[in-house]
Amino acid sequence: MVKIRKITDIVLFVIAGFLLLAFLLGIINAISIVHREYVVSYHLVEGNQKLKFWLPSGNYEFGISNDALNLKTYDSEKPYQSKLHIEVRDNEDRILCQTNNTSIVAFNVPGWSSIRSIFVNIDVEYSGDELLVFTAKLKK
Amino acid sequence: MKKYISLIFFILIAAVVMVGTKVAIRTSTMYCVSLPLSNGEQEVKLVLPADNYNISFSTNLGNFFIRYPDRIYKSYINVKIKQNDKILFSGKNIQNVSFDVVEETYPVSIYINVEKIEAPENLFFNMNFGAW
Repeated sequence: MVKIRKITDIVLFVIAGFLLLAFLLGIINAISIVHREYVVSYHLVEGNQKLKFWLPSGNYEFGISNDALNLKTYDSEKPYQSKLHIEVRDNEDRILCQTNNTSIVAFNVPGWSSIRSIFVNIDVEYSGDELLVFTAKLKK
Repeated sequence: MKKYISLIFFILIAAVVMVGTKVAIRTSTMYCVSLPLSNGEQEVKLVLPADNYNISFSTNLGNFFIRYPDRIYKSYINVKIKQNDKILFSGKNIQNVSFDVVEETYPVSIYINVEKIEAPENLFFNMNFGAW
């Protein structure tokens, strides 16, 4: 009887120990994941294109740069030879951000801990030969 | 007896906290990108921390790939994934690609060549990031 108790004690303590270790490792892993940043760059083509994102709540900034220069241009009068129209909508079709001929789009995904589908609608009207690159930095 | 109850209670609490933390992390760090693909070669450049990643291709017809496996592509897709001139993956007409990023200092370039013989469907590049 005493032997069985001892074995049960050991088994329970081992399970508790493993759970505690897994929990600590999970926390360490979580901290490293939360601080990760992902960058996605995508060449835009002429016409209308719909990019879709699923993002957790937070503040985001998407940018468009000229691949030839690899620089964002801040010339508001003529940022690109192309005309750009960017519209960011959420899954309830609410407009989060709408811009014309700007190189940076900043918007907020509302909520506390929800994931929303975000639609980025970009219209590119070329009048030149430059390549436009859409860049999304995914970090909370 | 008391000792067992408190130990079992501790195990239960730890399990609940672990599951709760995992759900919270997942919902706060899960990103997903879906990009439309056009005809010809296009490059998607990614800067990624070291991890294993998965890319999938889908159409606007939803589960088209699964329902009509013999009609996966009337279009052809060539995929080449490179990091620092090292080819991580190269394949033709695949629906899913898995690759490992080891060196996080170099961006990963994904070259996708879409050759549409017919144009029955729009193709999308899908990728998930974060704690999946």
